[in-house]
Amino acid sequence: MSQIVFENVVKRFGDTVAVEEMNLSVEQGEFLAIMGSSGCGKTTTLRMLAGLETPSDGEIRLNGKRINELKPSERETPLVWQSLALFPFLSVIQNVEFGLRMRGIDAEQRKKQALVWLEKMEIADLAERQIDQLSGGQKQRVALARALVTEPPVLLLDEPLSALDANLVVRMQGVLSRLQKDLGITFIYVTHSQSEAFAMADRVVIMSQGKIEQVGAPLEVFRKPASRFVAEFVGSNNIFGGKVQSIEGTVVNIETALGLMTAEWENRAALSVSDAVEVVISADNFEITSTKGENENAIRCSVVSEEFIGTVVSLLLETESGVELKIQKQQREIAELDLHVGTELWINWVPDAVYLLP
Amino acid sequence: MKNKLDLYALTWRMPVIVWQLLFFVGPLLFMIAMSFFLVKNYRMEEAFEMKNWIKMTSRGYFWDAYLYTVFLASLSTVVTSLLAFPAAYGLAFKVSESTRRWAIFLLIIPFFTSYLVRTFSWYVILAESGVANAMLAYIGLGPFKMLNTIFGSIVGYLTLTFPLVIILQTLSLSNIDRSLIEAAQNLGAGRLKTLWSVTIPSAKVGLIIGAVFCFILSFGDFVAPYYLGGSKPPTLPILIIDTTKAGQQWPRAAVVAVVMMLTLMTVAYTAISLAYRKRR
Repeated sequence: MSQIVFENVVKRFGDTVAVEEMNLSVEQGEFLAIMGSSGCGKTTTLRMLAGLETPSDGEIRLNGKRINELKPSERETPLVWQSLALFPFLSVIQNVEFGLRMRGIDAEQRKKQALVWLEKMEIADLAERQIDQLSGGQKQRVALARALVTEPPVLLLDEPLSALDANLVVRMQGVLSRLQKDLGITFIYVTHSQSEAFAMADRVVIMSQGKIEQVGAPLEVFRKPASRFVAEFVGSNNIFGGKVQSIEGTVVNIETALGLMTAEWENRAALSVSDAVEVVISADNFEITSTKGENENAIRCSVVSEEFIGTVVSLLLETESGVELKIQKQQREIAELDLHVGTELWINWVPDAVYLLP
Repeated sequence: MKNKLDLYALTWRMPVIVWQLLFFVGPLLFMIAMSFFLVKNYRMEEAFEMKNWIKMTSRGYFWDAYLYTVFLASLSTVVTSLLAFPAAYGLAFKVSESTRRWAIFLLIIPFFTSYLVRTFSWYVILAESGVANAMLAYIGLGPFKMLNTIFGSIVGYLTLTFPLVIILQTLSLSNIDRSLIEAAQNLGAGRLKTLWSVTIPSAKVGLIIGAVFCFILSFGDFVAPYYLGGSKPPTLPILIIDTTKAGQQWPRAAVVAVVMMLTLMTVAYTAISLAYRKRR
């Protein structure tokens, strides 16, 4: 039995539908990331789970029991807020003790338990500090300790890392991943950041306009997007329109602006010759050479712009027929090519790299 | 460079400094000085003697009036704050933004009319054969003596301070970060526990400032204890009036006023430090 089940859950705010007919199951001990741009319904989903919003329709079950009507205070679903929502009028340890105090646990016991969690989060020495004396990363740890001190079966996180600088985000990702594995409890993590979701989650849910677009492992979502929206949302994909030229078993030949492409078709739906289709080639799936190689899937391009993002370089190329292509390569891989705006080069791709959008 | 900058800043600060000196510091210093003056043949003479201070502070009725005024102002503060809180809570959390704006506007309206006029309308309502007793008689109760009682005084103080305290409390409650309240519920706090351990501490500064205003206004008010409270026993503001009427004793009234100022300063300072105090 799945630990958390959303069954046909709908949430309306007046006339606007925030979440539409959501069906989703979450297994015990899973790290699930819900991803989407702002207003897609991901935070509403999380808040319904915490009881801060009531579903307009459908049913949410926790361990098989309907929880739609449970008050927030009656649920064991602590949430880590984007703003962290630490109580500024309480000290660090008083913040962590809060959940225990509300459950009527005596002072000595709750102090002991709170200290255990502060130690786990490596901030025991800050116990007596005020919240406004802490750094961003320290506050993050206090918020986690406060949420986890009651040893809940599920932890909900609403973009908790969005206020931190890049270095700290990577460190906190490590902390969260390890914590989730050690505790073995379910983490449901809402984010708009693909890198955070892919770095930590076992499964990723992509939402758009209140609907789930795709659920799957990060790599699956990345390599096999279920829709054009997902293909555009995750990473830098090149999407080409095309027309089916011929079908040979599971192999489909498609006429595109880059010429003839072949792709695997796993028979997800009927497909016939001359259907309009879309194919995807990920930006990292191109090879760049200075001369035409032996690969027949090759095309001549010139460099339009170059963007250096750390270890990876992002290139915008244009074919002779005017098709724009996004390409990402390791910086040291293309250093020897000595690229400038206007440089002419050849790109090629292996047939495997072509993915046919369902 | 540094000097030039200071001169520039000083020029712009001048109006504030001048107004403060002219209308606050000046009269205050004069009042303090006056408390050492003497009155001879109904005329005030400049002097520097402790006579007024000794005379006033050695009198039992002065300290009776002092304690009674502190008691009435404290009672008014507690009653007003407690009555205002549910109203402010409702306005802050249970109504829409626009309703709240209208409510605050309506709460300002009482200040358009004279406080004295509003107090006199209470006179009609609370009188022995007034509106309130007539209505109570209709359901078989009363008549109650409401004028010339502590109850009367408190009604008067409420007329003066209630709208202001509701406004101050509403503003402080509606400025609370909602996620703090949600976080409390999320961590297992029911309604009352959330109210007590998160909502009130979060709005502490505003609630205390509301109470301080209530205390200051009630402490210095002459109208409510005089017309609705019956002036017996007298409060300090009533004592001031009586003292000035009896033999032009302005210096002795000044003693009362200075004592009142010192009391209010102590109360306000203590309350504000309490409001901004950090735990531990």
